[in-house]
Amino acid sequence: MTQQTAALADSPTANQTATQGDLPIVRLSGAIKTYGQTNAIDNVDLDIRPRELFTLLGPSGSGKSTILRAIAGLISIDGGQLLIEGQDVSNIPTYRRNIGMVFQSLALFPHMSVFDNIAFPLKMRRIGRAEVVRRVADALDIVRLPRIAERKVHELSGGQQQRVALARSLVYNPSLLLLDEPFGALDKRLREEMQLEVVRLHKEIDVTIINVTHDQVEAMILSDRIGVMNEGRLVQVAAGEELYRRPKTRFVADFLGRSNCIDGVLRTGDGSGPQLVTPGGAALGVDPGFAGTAGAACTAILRAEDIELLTAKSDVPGIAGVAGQVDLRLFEGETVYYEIAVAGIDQRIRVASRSGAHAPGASVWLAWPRERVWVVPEAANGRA
Amino acid sequence: MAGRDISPGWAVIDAIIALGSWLKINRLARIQPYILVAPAVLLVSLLAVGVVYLGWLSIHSYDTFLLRQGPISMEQYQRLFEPPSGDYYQTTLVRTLVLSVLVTAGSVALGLPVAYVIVRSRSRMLRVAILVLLLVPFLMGEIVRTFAWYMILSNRGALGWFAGLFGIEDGGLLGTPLGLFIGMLQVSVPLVALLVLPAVRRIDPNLERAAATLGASPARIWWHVMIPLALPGLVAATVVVLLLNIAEYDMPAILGLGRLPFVANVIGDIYRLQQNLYLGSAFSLVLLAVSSALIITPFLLVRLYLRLRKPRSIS
Repeated sequence: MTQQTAALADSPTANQTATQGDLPIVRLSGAIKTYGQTNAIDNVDLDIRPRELFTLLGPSGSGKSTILRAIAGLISIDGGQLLIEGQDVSNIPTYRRNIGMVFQSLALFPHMSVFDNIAFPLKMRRIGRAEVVRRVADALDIVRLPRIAERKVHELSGGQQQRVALARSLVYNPSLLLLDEPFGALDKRLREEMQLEVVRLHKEIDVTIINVTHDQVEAMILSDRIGVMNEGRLVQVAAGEELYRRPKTRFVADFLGRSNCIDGVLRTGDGSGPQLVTPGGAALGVDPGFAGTAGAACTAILRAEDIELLTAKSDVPGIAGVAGQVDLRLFEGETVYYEIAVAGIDQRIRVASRSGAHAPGASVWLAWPRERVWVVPEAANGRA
Repeated sequence: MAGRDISPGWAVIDAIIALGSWLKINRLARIQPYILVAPAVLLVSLLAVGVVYLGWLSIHSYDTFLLRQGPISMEQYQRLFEPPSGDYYQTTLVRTLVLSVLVTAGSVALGLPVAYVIVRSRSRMLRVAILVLLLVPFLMGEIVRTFAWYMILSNRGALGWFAGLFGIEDGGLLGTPLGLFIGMLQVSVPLVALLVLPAVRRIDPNLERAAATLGASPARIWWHVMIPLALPGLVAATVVVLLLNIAEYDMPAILGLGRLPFVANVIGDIYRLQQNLYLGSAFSLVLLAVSSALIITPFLLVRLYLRLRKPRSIS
């Protein structure tokens, strides 16, 4: 930890969160926000742990930004409870919440210099002149910006503006930092740079970060835990790998990565393990762990990258498979993307293969390790 | 005739084109933009000629009995500024300036929030309703609007009746500075609101939200973010409203009941009743000079404000 970051971390708020231990820094219970007829957020329960980097992930309009704005106090919730550091904040206005927030538009003050932008929150806290100068310089160091304090905001590059916005929301040591898709509008290279920057900052500074994004890759890279949202509901909260391997609903499986979600009924199957039988009669071998739920209507989730394409059927124990015919082949660089027609399945099976040996029209054998096929009960797909 | 079957109309146009190319009219393209502003320049310079003529008249003495122009002298200006007659003219000038400045300040204070509500309101109905309410008084015409206020403010009007409910007799405000202030304010507020509207609309609403998360109370968001960003619009609105108020005629004449004349009313009286073009010219020029000087005030205020808001710079 550099000298500057040590100075930042050495603040009353930082110590407070450290002593609070496992108490959630933010707790939403039964939170509801209604716009007209629809619920922007619908009965959301969520605990954010101190010091974690949490990402709310979901398509646009799923309510993730609404949650962030409620935490910041920019909107009020219509039902349920919102606690920050154990305190009900419904009567605490935004400017007394001591929360840092970076907006997608960055919202840097165009009429102020970089210095004045970063000094703004300190001035609002009536901090002395010498202290302001010192802390602004520290904050600029933390986001690794060269000496640009005197510049006007519009003279900066996109990446520099991002860093100034970050510095401005960290300079007063908030215990909670909210990121409202600030990297959404950046080009790929800059976006990755800023994502790594956030990870680094999170390691160096004692701060809880709640990030909002619709970019699943960003969510996976950054987060300790991810909350997936859909239509105002929090569908699943888990670490990235858990979400990817063991999605709770079809929506989560569909949103993260490229997957094939195939509906059918689970059968005990042949000697080698349980199978999902589609209405069309195709039988797909799934993880033996699901043998207990035989008879139920389910959705099998088969990741595109877990399927291997062979020229002929193979009988290796633990490997399931089905015959198909190549419908589409797209060269993507790292992988070759196939869409494959399988008798008895309405949809084309999507495959990301490293081998590009199969031409459209060719007959192939699709093989996959049984334990890689996750099964979601139909009931879980009702709302989400 | 037989050999040339070109109709006479086309022949004329051909001649014009030939003449044009002979005069090398294409070269005019370079000064085209200047040609477009020519009518405006012409109008303004005609007005300037008028002002110069007023200036010429104002430095002559005038025999009001024989209606005859005398030699060049400062007589008219002496009458404006030296007792006994000067007292009346100076009181009028001070009244005009003080009320105009107060009305302008009041209308900026009330008009900016109105513009803000129009821009930020989520309800389309509310936005349209406010805009209509702002514009209707302009559609009424000045005289109708002024007499509407006359009826409201008079002793036997709405205000008098309302005051009567509390046992106050003659509670109307006609002929009082407050009544005149209210009437002029009503005209100025919509003007300010409409003039600052574009400036307020350009302010990103996220700037307010960001300021709030950074710890700024609503009042400080106004002081540090909204007002500085709306400043160009505010200056424009202040200048326009100030000028219109200084030149106000109908409201002082009607709502002031003749007891609170503005400079414009007095100039009118000098022209029409005294038939003294020379004194009227002098007073007009004094008003022109004073209001020109006053126009600088908004800009000075901006400087003062910027210095107050940002007392220091990093070194």
